Amino acid sequence: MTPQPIRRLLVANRGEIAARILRTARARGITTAIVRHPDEEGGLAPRLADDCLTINGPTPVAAYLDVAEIVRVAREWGADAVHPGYGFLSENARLARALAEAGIRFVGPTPEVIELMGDKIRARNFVVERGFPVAPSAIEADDPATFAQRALAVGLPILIKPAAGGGGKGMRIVRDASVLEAELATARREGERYFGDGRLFVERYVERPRHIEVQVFGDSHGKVVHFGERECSVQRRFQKIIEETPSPVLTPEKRGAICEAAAGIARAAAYVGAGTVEFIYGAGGEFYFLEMNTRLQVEHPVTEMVTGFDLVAEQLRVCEGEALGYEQSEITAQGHSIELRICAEDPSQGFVPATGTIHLLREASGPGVRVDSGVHEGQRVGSDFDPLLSKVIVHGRDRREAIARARQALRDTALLGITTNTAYLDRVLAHPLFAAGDYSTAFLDEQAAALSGKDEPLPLDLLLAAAALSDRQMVDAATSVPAIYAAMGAWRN
Amino acid sequence: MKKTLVIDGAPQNCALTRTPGGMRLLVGERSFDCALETLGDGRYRLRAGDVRRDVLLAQQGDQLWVHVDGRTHAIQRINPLDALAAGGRGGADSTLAPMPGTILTVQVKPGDAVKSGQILLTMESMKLEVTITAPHDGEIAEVLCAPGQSVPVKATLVRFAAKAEATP
Repeated sequence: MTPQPIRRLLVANRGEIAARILRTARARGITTAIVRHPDEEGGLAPRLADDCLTINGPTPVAAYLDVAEIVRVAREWGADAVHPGYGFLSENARLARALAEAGIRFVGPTPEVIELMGDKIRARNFVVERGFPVAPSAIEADDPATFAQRALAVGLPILIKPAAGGGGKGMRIVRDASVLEAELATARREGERYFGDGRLFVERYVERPRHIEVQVFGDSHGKVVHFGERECSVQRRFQKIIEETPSPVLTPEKRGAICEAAAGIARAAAYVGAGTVEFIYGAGGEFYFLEMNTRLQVEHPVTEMVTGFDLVAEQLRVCEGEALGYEQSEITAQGHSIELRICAEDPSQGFVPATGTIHLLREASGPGVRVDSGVHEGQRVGSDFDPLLSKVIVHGRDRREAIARARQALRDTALLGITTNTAYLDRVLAHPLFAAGDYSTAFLDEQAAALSGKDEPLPLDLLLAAAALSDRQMVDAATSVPAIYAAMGAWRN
Repeated sequence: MKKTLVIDGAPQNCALTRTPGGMRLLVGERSFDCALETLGDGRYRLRAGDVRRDVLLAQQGDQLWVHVDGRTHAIQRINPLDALAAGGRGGADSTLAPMPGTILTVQVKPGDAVKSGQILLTMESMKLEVTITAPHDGEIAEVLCAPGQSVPVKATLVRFAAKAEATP
């Protein structure tokens, strides 16, 4: 099979990931296009693409999820490949198939593998049958009538998950049998709404677990390698906000075992392209397969920082039919990398999403600092999409240096006009347990009080002075009176 | 002119006054010299008493954002006359959207009597489903949203009827 270079690439995504993919595509001399809904304003990605294609739909999100619409614009523009990014249609086998029928390549694995891994129950069975570890569980479809009973038999606490799920949506922890029915009903509703599929399964919930994932890569010549692990345990509402590599908890032996398990699963699935195998890692060093994401991850840059590989370039090469062309032993990691997700949200109000306009934007820079941004100054941030605005990624010789650089990068990051989590992220990095690498997915909840920032000193006089001196009415009122009388103002009224 | 500057929810009554050397800020009973000098491109040199910092500033209307010492602070400026006008409105209260998002279901209609904690409606913002409950017993006067509707943060969703005055 002779490699077929990609000449025209459509990025069927938006925000920081679209911008990030476009940068690699441009560097490879590929002509690019991006999609956008008429209701969307601004965004960095449209400025980086050669063309911007309008996709229609009742809402912006609906347009990004519309397979026929994406295929239509890809065909009309003459794309020879579509990169789906993450989220939206990135794990949608129908898109992969529809593109193939249109003679357009999908930058990702085969539709069959997407389907296998997208169905969490089939994926789990696939992994068990091939001898890889999974957590004790009960599956609704096996016998819906006895599901609640079998769920309890798994042993409390349990975690309810939608069969078609991902990204933390519809997941519920149950510690008390009396609320099981109600939680199952809520999870089913959410599953139906987000995935059009209300089927559920439950798993034993590992208390204070870590979430460790492994980057895998396969080519169309049968080779599969891994790019090491990422530690993703710092989460709020089952969603990651800080990721790092290497994981501070893995010994070289454990690292070898978990990475080999991931590569083994990918090999068994004849995996092609970039994928991530996620594991739950217990306090005793036990690990269970959680799911496989058949796409590029949000946190892929930390792997790029330590290995020196451009994973998007690798995706495009594999899609073109090239062999990976290197051995597992040639993939080595240097130093330590941390990613911080800058989100439009208010950590003091339960991380509710915030909206507003970015009136002033300053991004971090300096040695070992990379910013993958999707926004620009003057941009309005609405509630139509995920609150992720940009990612700050740092690299250091060791974890200590990486943390120090990350903290400085956060202080150098300013997005004025919208509430963000930058100060909160800095407090997480400053927490002694984070510094010690001693944290689990429960970390943010357990340390909520310490991370609230309530005891952070406020530079009150500076803020008051700034607010008064930048107020036209207050300044005018003071300057319109001759100085001698104005000086009396304090006690005159 | 006096304004109320709200930082972290705490209101401070402030006024500027001119001094032979520059400006002085009066905050309640105390005061200190201050200065603000633009450096261009959103950067300013700020002085409050003896403390000097280079800061970033952005403002829109009465809202100001200050980035100082690696932290961004939001400050609301309130003109006391506006506050007085706003305070004069009716006795009925309402339930506001805690976040921007989309209304999923509305479970009450005008005239309904509701109990404290009863579900009024559900809404979704990105990946979070939130249940909005009645903050107290009362009667629904008006429902200002419908399923499928997008609402901004603090949009009025449901208005309660003013409590009937006890008639002697």
